[in-house]
Amino acid sequence: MSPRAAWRLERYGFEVYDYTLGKVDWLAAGLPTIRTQPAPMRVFDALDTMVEACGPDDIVADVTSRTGADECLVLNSDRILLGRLRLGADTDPNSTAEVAMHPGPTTVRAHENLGETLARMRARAVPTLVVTTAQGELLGVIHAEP
Amino acid sequence: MPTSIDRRQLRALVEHGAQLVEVLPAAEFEEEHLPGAIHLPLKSLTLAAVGVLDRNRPVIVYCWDGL
Repeated sequence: MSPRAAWRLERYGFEVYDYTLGKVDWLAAGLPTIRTQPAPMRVFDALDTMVEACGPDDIVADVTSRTGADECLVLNSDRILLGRLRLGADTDPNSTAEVAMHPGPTTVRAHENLGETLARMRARAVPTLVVTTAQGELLGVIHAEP
Repeated sequence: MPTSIDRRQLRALVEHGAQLVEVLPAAEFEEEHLPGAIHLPLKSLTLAAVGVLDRNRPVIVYCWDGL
């Protein structure tokens, strides 16, 4: 719809730009909007941004000692989610995060309905779910239980 | 030819005075829209309707997902 509007406005003599990714992209990034009526809570409303992260070239042993966590998200330099690294006994401490990680973890968008998302997580016994933008940039995680 | 932009470019353009226009129907605009957006639905985007826009400032249009 916006491309047709852009062409029409250009014909009217305006300098026109088209935000083609649109409102859904804005919402998925968790950016503010004007809402005229109360709406159900969204994933963004429960977002936990305190997430352990590492780079794909980091050594697992270094990540383990630095974070002290049992898992870590693997991000590139643009904060794009590459994988999920479980820091357990089964993980080779000398390998890189990229080799040891589980690629392509399931993600959810920030504007999705929080109640429905938490219900799906509980039904599938998923304790945490990663929240990214539509382009894969990490925003945080949500937890099935508070 | 209109230029396609991402949200970072959108924010930069708005900071420099660009006008933001949502072209979706009224119900969708009223439910939720981007801060500062003007509502000019595609179906009524006539020369008279665009009189509310400043011709000296760029215009950014958006809908739900560009389709």
